[in-house]
Amino acid sequence: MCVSLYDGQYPDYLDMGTIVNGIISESTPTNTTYAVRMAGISKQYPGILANDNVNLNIIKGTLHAVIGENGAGKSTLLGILYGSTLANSGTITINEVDVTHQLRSPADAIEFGIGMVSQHYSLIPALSVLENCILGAEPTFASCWIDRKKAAIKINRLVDQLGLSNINLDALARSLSIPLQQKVEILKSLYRGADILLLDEPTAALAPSESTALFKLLQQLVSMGTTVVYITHKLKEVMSYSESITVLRSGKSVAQLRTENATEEELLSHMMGKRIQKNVAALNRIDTMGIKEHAENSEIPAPRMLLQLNKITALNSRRALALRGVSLNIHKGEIVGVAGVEGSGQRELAEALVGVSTIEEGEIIFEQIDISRCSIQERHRRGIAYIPEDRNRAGLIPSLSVADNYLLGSQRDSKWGGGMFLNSSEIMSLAERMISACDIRTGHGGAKMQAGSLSGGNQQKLLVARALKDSPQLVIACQPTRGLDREAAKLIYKIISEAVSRGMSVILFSSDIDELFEISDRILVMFNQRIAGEVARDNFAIETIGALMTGTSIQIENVTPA
Amino acid sequence: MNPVFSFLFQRLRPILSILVGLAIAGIIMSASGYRAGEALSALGSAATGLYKGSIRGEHDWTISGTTHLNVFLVAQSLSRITPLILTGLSVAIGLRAGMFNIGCQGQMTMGALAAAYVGQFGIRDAATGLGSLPAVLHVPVTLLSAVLAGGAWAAVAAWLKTKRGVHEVLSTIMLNYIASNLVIYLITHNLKDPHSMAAQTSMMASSSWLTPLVPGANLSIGLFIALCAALLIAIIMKRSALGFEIRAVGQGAEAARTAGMPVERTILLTMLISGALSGLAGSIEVMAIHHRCLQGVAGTYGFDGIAVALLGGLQAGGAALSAVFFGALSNGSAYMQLQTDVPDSIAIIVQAVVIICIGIRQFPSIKLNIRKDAVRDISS
Repeated sequence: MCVSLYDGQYPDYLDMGTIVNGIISESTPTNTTYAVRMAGISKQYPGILANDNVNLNIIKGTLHAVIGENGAGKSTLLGILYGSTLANSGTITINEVDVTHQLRSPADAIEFGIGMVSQHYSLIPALSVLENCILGAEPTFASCWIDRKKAAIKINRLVDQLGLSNINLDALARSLSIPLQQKVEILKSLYRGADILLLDEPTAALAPSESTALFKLLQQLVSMGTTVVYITHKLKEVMSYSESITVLRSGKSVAQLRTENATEEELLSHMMGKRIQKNVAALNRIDTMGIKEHAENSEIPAPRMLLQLNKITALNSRRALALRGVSLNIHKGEIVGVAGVEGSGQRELAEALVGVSTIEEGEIIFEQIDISRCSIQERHRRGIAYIPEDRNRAGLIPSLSVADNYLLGSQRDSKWGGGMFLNSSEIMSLAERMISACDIRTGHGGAKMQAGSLSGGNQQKLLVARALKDSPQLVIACQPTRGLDREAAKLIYKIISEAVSRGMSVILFSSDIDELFEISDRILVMFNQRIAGEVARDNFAIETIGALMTGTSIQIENVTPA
Repeated sequence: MNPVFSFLFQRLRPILSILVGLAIAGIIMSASGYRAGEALSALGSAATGLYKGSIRGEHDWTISGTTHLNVFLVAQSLSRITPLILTGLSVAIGLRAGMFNIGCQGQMTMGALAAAYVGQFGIRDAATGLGSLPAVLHVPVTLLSAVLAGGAWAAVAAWLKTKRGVHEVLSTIMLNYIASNLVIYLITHNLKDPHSMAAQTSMMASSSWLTPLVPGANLSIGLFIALCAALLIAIIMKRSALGFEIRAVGQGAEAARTAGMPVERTILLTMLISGALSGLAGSIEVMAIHHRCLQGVAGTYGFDGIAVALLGGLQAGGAALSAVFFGALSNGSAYMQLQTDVPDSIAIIVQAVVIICIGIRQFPSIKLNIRKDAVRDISS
C-alpha cells in the first residue's frame, strides 16, 4: 500500500468510486456510496484564504476525523457543509446528489439530513431537554398545539436505541453537565432526522473518561448507519476511534488516509507541514550543535528568578477545571513561549497570571512575594503588564482616543497629573511621542483619533506600547501578532526585544509556532490543562512541539517533563 | 451617507427632534379640533415670558416696542428648569459609566425628606417660631443632608450591582417605590405636622429657606446651585482622573478592568455622584417652594431627567440646555391649558416624541439606499 502525499487535486476517475481516502485502492468495491463529497472548496475571508481547493470525501456509515493545526480551516470546512458559511467555489454532494446550489443555510443542511454539534452548544438554558430537542421542529396537533406526547415517544425511542438512560427529558438544559448537554445536542440533531452528524472539537471540554463515553456513543451511531464527522486536535482520539482521516494544513487538504494505514508520526508530519523521513527522536539527535553551545553558556551566573508558579489550579467560567496543577519558573530577561492547541489552558494561565481570574490552589511568587491574591492593579503596580488576546474587548476601548487608550489604567499616576486632575497636554505629548516611536499610523488626527479607527496592526502596536509604558518587569503577551502582516509583526518583536534587552521578561502565548521559534528562549507546551513539557531553544523542532501539543505517545527526546 | 450631511445631522439631531416633536403635537391638536397655531403660540409665550401688545404687568420689562417680557413667567419656567438640570445630570453621569440610573425619583424624594427634616432644626429654639440658626449655616447643612441622602440611596443600587449582581434598572425602580412609600409613612406618622390635618412634615425653619428671586415666583438661587453643579460635572468628566475612569468603564468595562482600572469603585462613585445630584434637586424643591416634605414632592422630575439627559447627549452642558427646553415646555403647557383649554398633557406627548426621535439612528440612510438601488436598476 503506497502512502501518497495527497496534493489536493482529485483525478477524473473519482467518479468511478475506486479512490478511497486519497489512496488508489484496488480492493475497495466499486459500489461504495459517499455520504459527503466536497470538491475544490475555497473560502476567502478578508485577508485570509480559509479554505483553498479543499476536498473531503466521507463514505456512508463511517467515523471520519478532520485534523489540522489551529487555523487550518477545519471549522470553516464543516461550516460550509452545514450551510452556515457559503463557499466561494467548489461542489458539495450529499448522498451522491449534487446539492451545491441548494445548500445555502443550516435549514437546508437539516433538510439534507445534516446535523451539527458546534463547540459552543446552542441549547436554551431555560427550556427542558424535550423542548430543546423539538425546538423549531415541534410536532403539533390542530396545527397550533405542541404534541408533547408524540415528541416524547419519538425522543424516548432514540434515547433507548442509544442507551442514554441517564437523560431526563423534563430536566432544564441549564441543569445539565457539559457531557449531557452535548448528548442532548446530538439527540436534537437525530430528532431532526440527521444521518450525517458533524461535531466541532467534541472533546475539547470533556475529561478523558467522558471522551471515551462520547466515542462509544458515536461508534454506536455509526453502527446504526449514521455518518459521523468530527474535528479534533488530539491524535490519540483519531487513532483509536476514527475509520478515515482528512488532514488540513493552511487551508488545504493535504492528506486523506484510512486510519488503519496511518501512524501518529505520519499524521503529525502532514499537520505540521514537514515530512518526517526518520523518527522524531532521531531527528532531534541531529541537532547536537546547539547542545554544545548551551554547555558553553552555562558558565554565565545563574539568572535571577522573577516568577514562580507552584501547582496552580483554576476553574473556567463554567466551573470546569481549566488548569490542573501548572508549575513554571521565569527568570529575568528571558522570553518564554507557551504553545498548545486551543483550549489547552493557555488563556486561563495568562488570566491567572495577570489577575483577571482567581486561582483555586497553588501560589504565584513574583519577586519573592506571593501575589496570587493581589488585584490586577496591585500586580500592575508591582510590574506585571498584560497584552490581552482579545484586542477589541479586553484590550482597547475602540470609542476612546488613542491617547485615552494609552492612558488606560495609569490615570492615577503622578506622571499624568497627580491623582485628581489629568494633565491633558502632557498626556497628548507622551502619546504623540509614543505614536512616532512605535510608528503607529493614526492618520491626520494623531493621538486624538479613535482607537477603533486604526488598523489591526496599529491597534496592536498601541496595545504593546501601553503594556511597556511603565517599564514593567514581566509582560504577559497573548497572540500579540495574530492577524498582522509580516512587517507589523516584526516591529512588534522589535519593540518587545528592546524592552527585554533592558531586563524585562516575557511570557509569550502564541498559536503561531514560527513566532514562538523566532523569539522564545524556551517553549513550554500545554496539553489537557497541564504543561506537557519544556523544550530549550537548541532543541526547537516542529515535530517535538507538535507531538507535545497533540499529546501523542511518540517517544520524544530533549523534552524536560513538567 | 455624505459625510458633511452626516456630521450636520448628528449635530442638529436634538433640534430636529424638538421640531418633529412640536410638529406632531400640532398635528394632534389640530386633529382634536383645537387651533394648534394659537395653542403653540400661547405655549411659547408662557414658556419664554415674551408677549406682544401693550404691557400687562408693572414688573414686566419692555424688550423692544410692543414686545414685553413677563418676569414672573420667566421665573416660573426657570424654577422648573432647576431640578431638571440636576436630575438630567444625574441620569447623564450614570449613563456615561454604563449605569442606567432610573432611580432619580427615589433619590430626589430621599433628598427632599432629609432636607425637610434637617430644615426643621432651630424651630423650637425660638419663641417666634422662626429658626435661630443663621441661614449661612443652615442652608448649606440642609443642602448637604440632601446630597448625602440621595447619594446613599443610589449607593444601595450600586452596592447591589457590584457585589450581588442585581441589575441597576431593577434595583433603582424598586428603591423608587420604597422611597415614596417611606415618605408617605413618615409624613403620616413620625414626622407628621402636629398642627395640620394634611399629611406633611412640619414647616422648615425659615433660616433653611431659599428665598424667591422674583416675588411670588418659585425661582431661587437653587438655579445657580444647579448651574454650578453642571459646571462641576463638566470639569469632572473632561479633566479629572475619575471622569476618565467613568468614560472608560462606560465604553468598555472589560478593557478597563483588564488595564487595571477599579471598575467596581468607579461604578460606586458614579452612583454616589448621580444620587447626590438628584438629592440636591429634592432639597431645592422643598427649600425654595414647599418648605416641607409632602407626598409626591419630587413630581416627575426624576423620570424627566432621563429625557433631559438623552436630549442633552449625556453631556453636562447639553443637559443644562435640554433642561431649559423641557422646563420651559412644562411651564408653558400649564399656562396654555389655562388660556386655550388644550390639555397640558400635550407637553408630555412632545417630550415623548422628542425622545423617540433622539433614539432614531438611521432614517436618512434608508432613503439614500433606495436611491442607490434605483440607480443600479437603471444602469443594469
